[in-house]
Amino acid sequence: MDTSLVNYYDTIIAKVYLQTDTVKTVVQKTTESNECSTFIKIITIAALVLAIVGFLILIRSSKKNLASEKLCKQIIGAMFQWRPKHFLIFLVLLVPTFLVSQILSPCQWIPCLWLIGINLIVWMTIKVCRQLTDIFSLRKQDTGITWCYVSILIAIGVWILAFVLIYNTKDDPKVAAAITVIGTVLSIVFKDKISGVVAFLHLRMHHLLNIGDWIKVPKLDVDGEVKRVTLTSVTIYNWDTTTSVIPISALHSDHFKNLQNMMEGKTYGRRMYMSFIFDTEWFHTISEQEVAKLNANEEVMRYLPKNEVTEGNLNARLYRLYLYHWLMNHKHISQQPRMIVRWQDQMPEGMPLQVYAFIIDSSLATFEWQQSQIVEHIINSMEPFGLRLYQRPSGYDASNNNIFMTNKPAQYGKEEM
Amino acid sequence: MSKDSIEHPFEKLNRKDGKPFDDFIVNNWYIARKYVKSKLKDVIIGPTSKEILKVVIEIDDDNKNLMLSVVRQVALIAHYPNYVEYDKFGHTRPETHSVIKVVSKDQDIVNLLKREEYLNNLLVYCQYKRNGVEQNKLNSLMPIDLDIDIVDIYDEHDKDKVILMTPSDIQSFLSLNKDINKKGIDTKRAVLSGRVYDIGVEIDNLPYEDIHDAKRYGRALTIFKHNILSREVESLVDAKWDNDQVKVKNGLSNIFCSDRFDSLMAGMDKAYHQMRDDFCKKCSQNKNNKCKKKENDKKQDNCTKKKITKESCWEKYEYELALSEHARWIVEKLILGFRPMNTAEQERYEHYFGKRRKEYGNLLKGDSANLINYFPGDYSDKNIDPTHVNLCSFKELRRIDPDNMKYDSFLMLAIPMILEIDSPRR
Repeated sequence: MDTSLVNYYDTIIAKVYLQTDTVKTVVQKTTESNECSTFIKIITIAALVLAIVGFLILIRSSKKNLASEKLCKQIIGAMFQWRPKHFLIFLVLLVPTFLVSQILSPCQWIPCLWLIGINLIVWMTIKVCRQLTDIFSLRKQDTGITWCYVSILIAIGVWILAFVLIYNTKDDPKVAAAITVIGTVLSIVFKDKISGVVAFLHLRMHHLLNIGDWIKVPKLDVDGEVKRVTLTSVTIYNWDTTTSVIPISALHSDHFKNLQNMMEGKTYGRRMYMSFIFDTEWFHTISEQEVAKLNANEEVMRYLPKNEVTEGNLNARLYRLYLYHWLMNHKHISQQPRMIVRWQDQMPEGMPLQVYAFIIDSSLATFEWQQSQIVEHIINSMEPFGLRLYQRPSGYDASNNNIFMTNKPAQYGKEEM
Repeated sequence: MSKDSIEHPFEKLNRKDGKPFDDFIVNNWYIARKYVKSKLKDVIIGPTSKEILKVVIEIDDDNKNLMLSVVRQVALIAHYPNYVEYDKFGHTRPETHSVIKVVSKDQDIVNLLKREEYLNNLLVYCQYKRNGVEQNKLNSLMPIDLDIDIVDIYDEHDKDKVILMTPSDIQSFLSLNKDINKKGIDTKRAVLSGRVYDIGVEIDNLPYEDIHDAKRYGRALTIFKHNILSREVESLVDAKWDNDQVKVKNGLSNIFCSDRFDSLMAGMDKAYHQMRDDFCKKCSQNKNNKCKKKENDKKQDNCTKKKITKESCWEKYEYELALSEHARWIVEKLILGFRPMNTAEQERYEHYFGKRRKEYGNLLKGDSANLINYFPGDYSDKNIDPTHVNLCSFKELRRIDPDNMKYDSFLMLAIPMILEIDSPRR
């Protein structure tokens, strides 16, 4: 055989072998890459399954987590409280975001994705905070409510900042101008809401308003217990069982009274401020017989200085002294900050005696009870002093009186001229 | 001021007529104080404790005066924060009173106890028992947290549950503590507790919004700790004590108040541990909580320490402490010779307003000579006992003089700070 032919066949065989090796290598590599992608696929599928299972578990246990005492569990529970409307809301948010991003940066998907991501975070923050404020309102945890609303404000601020940064609006003067105009218009439209936010922060920082407080807003005819406080409004359950929802800015700009401390008995007491009109026809200086009668009355003399019960002293003065000492020694009247019994200006009807005192029982029913008992005692105790309260005459008094101007009976007929 | 703060304040107290007490009486006071403190040092009663102190004091002995001084000292010191003045329905709670049984066959024992150097006005204005029968019920104008029973014979059936103070016991105490005859009291704590009134506007201007809310005193406590307590301790007894019995009685009041600090601290420690145990128990009962109550578990210990601190314990029982302090103060004032206002004084007090009312109150608790000088026609006796408007129940104090209540509350919260500075060495 020819050597060149042998060499030729060797070369071919070598090439074939080489190609086979190459094929082998390629096949080997292909085989390996197929195994790798399968592994990745399996991992991905397993992760997806785990995520879905975990998601379902968290959704299922969201109510239990919400009921927990720990804040972390409450947040997780709030995050995974899902209802069908939440998906709808998310979709509603998605469409405008997509449109806006395409207007600002056409065919650029990354800014769009960023914006959608930020939207999702802000929406989730608002959702969680709203859930938590419901719980904190029930538990009267005012600090928690404040932080929830502060978080919402921060989330909104982050959204605005992210929008500016993602679309580099500062570099594009036209876009910046448009956003400025839109922002100004929105500020004017929502100025009440913005002032509400300021009022909320002011009231919370200075602890002027808490859930459960009894407040009175005279201008808005509100008198009841605060049930809910949000960034923009306050819900009050009035004592007549109606509900009032007032803008929180009204509490900042107008006067309101917080009576909670007084009702809880943390102050000197609850003020009693009553006047009694005395018929001055019954005012007189006391006689010797009246002095003896008063001295014999042990109950009265307990609270009347003996040296004042003298002939010639005014009965009204004695009664005022008696009432003053009686109130000063009353178990339910606080001597502080002041306790006053005084005569007021003379009126056509008579002379008012005013009692200005603080009753230490401050809850409504107890206070009214004690006040009524004091009033009853005031009325009952004036008799030994020969005093009477003024009462305007009624029709009954007029038709049943027996006062005659002369001894002759009245003539109702006209005299003939 | 000497570093060891040992002073001799009891010598400065005079009788009503201005004459000093005899040396042996003063000496007995010092001995009785140390003896009673040592006997009661293991009594730990906290605000939630159900147990009460029961003391039996046998008087009949050659040295009867010493035993009578012991009765006086027990009455001054046996006050604990589990005292309840009135329950929800306005009834008194005798089961929270400390019981003092005075055993003596002397028929004149009541008059002996009413002497100025012993219980003084305590048995005049408060209820007590004579062989189990209530005495002085009509005159008892204010509730006290002591149940004093003067008996002829003591039935020893409950001997194990009482603290017996007998003449022989006190003799053996004296023989073991020979240096007790060196009279003197370490007045450091008394001086520090008296500084409560030096806080100034931080407490004076506190509005009357929940006197018993401990958080209101936070700023004042900080100033007290870092500013007022850090000053050098001056002497309690000074030159002014020689001519001013009001200052003497105020100083002695600080001593009697501070004598109770150790027992209060022990009682509150007990309450603190009880709070932690309750917290731990509640926590472990929660099924979701994996933490189960374990003994001597450091981790659990650290967990409860974060949630239940000693400060929070003192804040929680601040009302009970203030009530107990007022009860002690009433007994102390009656023993020091004070009395409640009579009708005429009450009427005059009510007729004055503002500053004048305050000045009249100060006049009433001061020297009787001054009082007679201003109102000569009202008093027939030259030696009149001083009176104090706050001598009333704690419930009444809230309506009569609520602004003064904050000092009691503040002092109770400041006790741990005072004890931190003055470690107990008696």
